[in-house]
Amino acid sequence: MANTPQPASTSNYQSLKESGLPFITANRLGMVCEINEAFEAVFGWAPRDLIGESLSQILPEAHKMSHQLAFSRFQLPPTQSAILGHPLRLATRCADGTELISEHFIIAEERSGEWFFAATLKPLAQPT
Amino acid sequence: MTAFRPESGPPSATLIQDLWSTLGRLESALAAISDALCITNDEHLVLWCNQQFEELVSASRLTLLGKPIEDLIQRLPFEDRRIDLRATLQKHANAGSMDMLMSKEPISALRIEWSYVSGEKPPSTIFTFRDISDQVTLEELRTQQIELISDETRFAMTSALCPITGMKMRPSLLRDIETTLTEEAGRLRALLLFNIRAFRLINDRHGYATGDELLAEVARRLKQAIRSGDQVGRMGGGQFAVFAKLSDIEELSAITHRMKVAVESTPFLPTNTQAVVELNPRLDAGSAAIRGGQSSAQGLLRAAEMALDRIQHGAPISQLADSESGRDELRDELAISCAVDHCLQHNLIPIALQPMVILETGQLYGFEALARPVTSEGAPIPVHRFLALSERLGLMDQVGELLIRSTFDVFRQAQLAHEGMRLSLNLSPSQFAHSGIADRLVTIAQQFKMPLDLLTVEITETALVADESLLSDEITQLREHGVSVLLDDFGTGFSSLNWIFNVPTDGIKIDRSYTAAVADPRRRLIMASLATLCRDLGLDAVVEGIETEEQRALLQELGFRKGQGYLFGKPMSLEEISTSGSQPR
Repeated sequence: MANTPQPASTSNYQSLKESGLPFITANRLGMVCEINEAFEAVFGWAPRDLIGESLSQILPEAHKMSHQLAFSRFQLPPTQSAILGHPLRLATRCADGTELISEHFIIAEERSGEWFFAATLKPLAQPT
Repeated sequence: MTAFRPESGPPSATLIQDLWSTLGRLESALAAISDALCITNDEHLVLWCNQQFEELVSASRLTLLGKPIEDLIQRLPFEDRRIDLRATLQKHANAGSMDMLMSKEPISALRIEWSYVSGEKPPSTIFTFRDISDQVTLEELRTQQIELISDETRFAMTSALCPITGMKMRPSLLRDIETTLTEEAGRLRALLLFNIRAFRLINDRHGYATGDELLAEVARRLKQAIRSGDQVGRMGGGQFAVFAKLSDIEELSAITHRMKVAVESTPFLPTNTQAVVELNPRLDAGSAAIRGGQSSAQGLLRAAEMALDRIQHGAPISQLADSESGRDELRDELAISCAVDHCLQHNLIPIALQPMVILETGQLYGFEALARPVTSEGAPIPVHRFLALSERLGLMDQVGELLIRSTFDVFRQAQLAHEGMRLSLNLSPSQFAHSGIADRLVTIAQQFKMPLDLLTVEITETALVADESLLSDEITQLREHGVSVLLDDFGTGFSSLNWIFNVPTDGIKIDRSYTAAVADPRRRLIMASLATLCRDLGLDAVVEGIETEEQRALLQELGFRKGQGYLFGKPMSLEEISTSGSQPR
C-alpha cells in the first residue's frame, strides 16, 4: 500500500500543462515565459508577441491596475491570494483586441525561492 | 568607465522587483484603511477597490472590475431608493459628496465622497465610503436626500415596474387582471404562477447581485415565450405570474409546458460571480382558471397559489419557516449549500473507499468510492441530500464532475491501480440527462492516468428512467473504452429485470436490504434465483451490506462470488488506507 507522501492538490504545473487546454506561464516579475499551441489558436497570440512581455497584455483594460497591485502584494510575505487554485470566470484579451470569456485556473509554485505562475484558460460560451 | 544610458534596454529585474515591492506595500496600506475605497476610470468603471469596498457591496474584486460604480452603489440598502445617483455624479463630476441613510433604527449612515485624481488624463476618480452613523441626525439626512431625488426618479416610482426585470409588479398586474375579469365576464381566463426553484438558496450562495441577474434572465425568457395578448409580471421574490386568455381549459398545460421549456432549456451563466457558475433554472408551476365575473383577481391568485403549493414537493417554504422543524430544515439546507459551495471553491469532495472482496477467500480486488461531504463544522452530510441540493441549485453537472475528479485523485494518490485494484464509481441519475458523460469520464480518467479497464461505473436504477436510448448509447461508449458498468442498488427501483435486458450492463450490485434479510427463506429464494440468473446470463454480481460471517456463508452457498460490507472493511479515507493498509479483515 502506498505510504509515500503525495501532492495534496490535483493541480500542479505538469497537470495543467498536460490538460490540453490553452496554457500560459509567467515568472516572478509577471513576464510571460511560455504559451502552448492551444493558447495561440484560441487567443491569437504568437509566442513572439507575448514571451518576455507583461502578463497584463492579455488582460482587459479594466483589470490591469488591479492585477498589478494584487500581483505585487502577493509577493510580499505572507503570500496570500484569493484567486489561486480554483476556477475563475474572467475575460481574456485576444491578439486582435477582442475579449473572450474563459475559465482561468491559476496556480503558483515556488521554485528555488522564486514564485512561478501557471494557468489554463478554458474558453466558455460567450454571453449573448 | 561605462556611462548609464537610460534608453539602452529593458528595466533590470531588480528595478521591477523593487517596484513590485513598493506597489505591494501600497496596496497593503490601502487595505488597512477603514474606509471603503474604489478607483474608477473616466467612465466610472471600476479599476480597483480595497477589501472594505468588497465587503460593502458583498462582492469580490474580480467580479467588480469593469462594472459601473453607479450600479454598485445603487445596490446598497439605502432607506430612500429614489435618489438618482447617476444624475448626482454627472452634476458634480469633479468632486462631491453625499450622505446616505442606511437604516433609521438604529441610525446608520454612509458618506460617499468622490474626486478626480489630479494630473491624469483622462481622469480617474477615487470614491471613499465612510460610516458616519454617529456624526449626523436623521433630520439632517432627510433634508439632504430630498434634494437628491430627481424628476426622472419620481416618475419611475409611479410606473410600478420592477427595476430588475422591467415587468409589472404584483399590485399593478392584479389591477389589470381585475379590470379584465370585470370587462370580459364569462370568458375563460387563467393565472399561472411560476416559482424559481431554490431561489432563496441561490441568493444565499451567490449573493443578491447574482439572484437579480437570474431574475432578469428568467423574466426575459418568459417575455419571449408568452403569447400575444397574455400578460406576465413579477409577483415578488423568485415568483412570476402569467395571466392568459384561454379558449379551452386544455390550453393551460400547454402554456405551462411552453413557459417551463423557455426557462429551463438553456443554462444561465451569471457574470457577477467570481467563480464560474452555471445555473440551470427550474420552475415550479401552479395555475388556476376561472370565467370572468366568477371571482376577483385576489380569488384567482389564491387558487393559483394553492395549486402551486400542492405541486411543490413538501410543505411550502412559508409554512416551513413558521415552524421549529421548518427552521431547522432551512438551516440544514443552508449548511449543505455552503458545503457544496466549499467543495466547488476548493475543487475537492472528500472521498472514502470501501473494500470489495472475493467472498470465498476474502481476497481484496477493488474499492467502491463513496462521497463523504461534511458541513463547515465537520458534521457528515448524507450523500443523497448533498446531491439533491446540488441538483436543486442547478450545480449537479459541476458537482458530478468534481466527484469523478476527486475519486480519481484519491485512487491515484493511494496508488491502488499499480496493485491492479478495481475502482467502482457511482454516477448520479442527472449525469445521464444529457449526452457526453462517457466522453467526459474517459477524458478525466486519462488526465488522472486511471486505467479504464480497472474502472467500474455504478448506475442507480433511478437513472434508468431517463431517456433509454441516450443511456444505452452512453453505456455502450463506456464499455467500448473497457469500462465495466453495473446496475446499482438492484432490487430497489422499478422494472429491474426488464432493464437487465434493455440496458447493456456488465452486471448488478444487489442492494443491502436483500443481504440483511438473506436468512429469510423467501428472500433467500429470490437471492438464489438472482445468482442463477446472473451466472446464466454471464453477468457479474456483487452483494452489498455484508456484515456477518453467517451472511457471507449463506451468500457463498447461494452462488455469489463477490461482496462488500463492514465485515470486510468500512469506507476508509486516503489517510486510513495509507496508514492501516487496505487488507480486509
